[in-house]
Amino acid sequence: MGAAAVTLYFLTPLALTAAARRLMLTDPLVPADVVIALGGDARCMRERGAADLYKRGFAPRVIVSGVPCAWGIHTGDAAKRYVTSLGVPPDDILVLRKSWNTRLEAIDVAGVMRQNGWHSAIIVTSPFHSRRALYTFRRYASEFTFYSAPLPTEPPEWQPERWWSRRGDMGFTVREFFAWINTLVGGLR
Amino acid sequence: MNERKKRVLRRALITLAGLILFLVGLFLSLPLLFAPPDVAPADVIMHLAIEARLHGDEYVARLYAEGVARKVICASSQASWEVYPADYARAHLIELGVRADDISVLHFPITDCGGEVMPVLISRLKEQGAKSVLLVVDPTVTRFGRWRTRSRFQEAGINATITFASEDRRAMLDRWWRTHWKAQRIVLTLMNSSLDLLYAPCR
Repeated sequence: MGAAAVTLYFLTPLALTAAARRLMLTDPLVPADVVIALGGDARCMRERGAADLYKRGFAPRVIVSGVPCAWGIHTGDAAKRYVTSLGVPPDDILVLRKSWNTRLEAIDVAGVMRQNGWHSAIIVTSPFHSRRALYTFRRYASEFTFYSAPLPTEPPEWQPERWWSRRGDMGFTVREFFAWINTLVGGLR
Repeated sequence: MNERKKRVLRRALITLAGLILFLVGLFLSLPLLFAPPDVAPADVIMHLAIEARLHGDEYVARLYAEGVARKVICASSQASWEVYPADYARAHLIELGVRADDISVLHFPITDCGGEVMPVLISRLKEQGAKSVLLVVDPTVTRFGRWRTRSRFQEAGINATITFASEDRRAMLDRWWRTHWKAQRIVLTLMNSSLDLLYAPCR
């Protein structure tokens, strides 16, 4: 009984960290038709990551995403302004306007890619969201090729090591586990 | 089936039944879990329900017009790069008839942690010399969350009342289990208020 408790004490942190690591997915970087910064990041680190890939020549265009946020503002417009301030010409930036969740973003992106004759895209998102984002895009836009290029796991971004010891990372991780359940059962509309 | 297998099966069925009962109980008790709106005259209305899907702006303008408070503070964190919804809520309130001189704006840091936001709100209220505040919040505020917030403000010598637009509560609870954003909001509220208790700086 004592040995089992000691084993459990040492194995639980390893298992929890391993479970969090499974939320991430990183593909080797390859050139694509477009780089997509998924919405939902108030600090705009995803947009910064997408602009960086654009400037390094991995894609000739950037898609940013957003929603109406309060009276008279749209987070997508703000994201576009930010990406422009980082040196991406406005003509190379496209804004998705009603992307309330990852599934809707995937559906919107599929429409845009179809319309423009694009075939591949690099998805930039937070590390904890990267595996589910790629899964969702492959499910709802299956005729295109997507690559995952999540942000690095450095502060202020989410980190999988001992995530339960930090309030912010605990919130993101638990929320992501719930989101996976919703995604796997088909997803609420 | 031998005795051991029967015992395992019985335990599994009891666990499953318990889980189903818990989920059904949670589902049915959700309206009870949330706090009802509570309006009282105050020195200041603090507007925290700034969102396109809510009617917080209209509700604050109505409360101001009814004379519930003479001053309004619109408060929010950053929603995107250098974009604070509080600034836009202020413009909207002016359009809805609130005097520009009576509205100020407060920006607070991006955080899920309630305990980090409350001192910022309290500090601003103290600067304005307010002894009472009417907090206009998201309609998913729980009874426990309301009690906790009121206690924190009370400790700082400010009498806090918590309210929201009742049409938003009705809309939120209307078939919430079938709509992604409603279910997400409810789960996040319950999760965040539970998590805040586990981390000392957030309590």
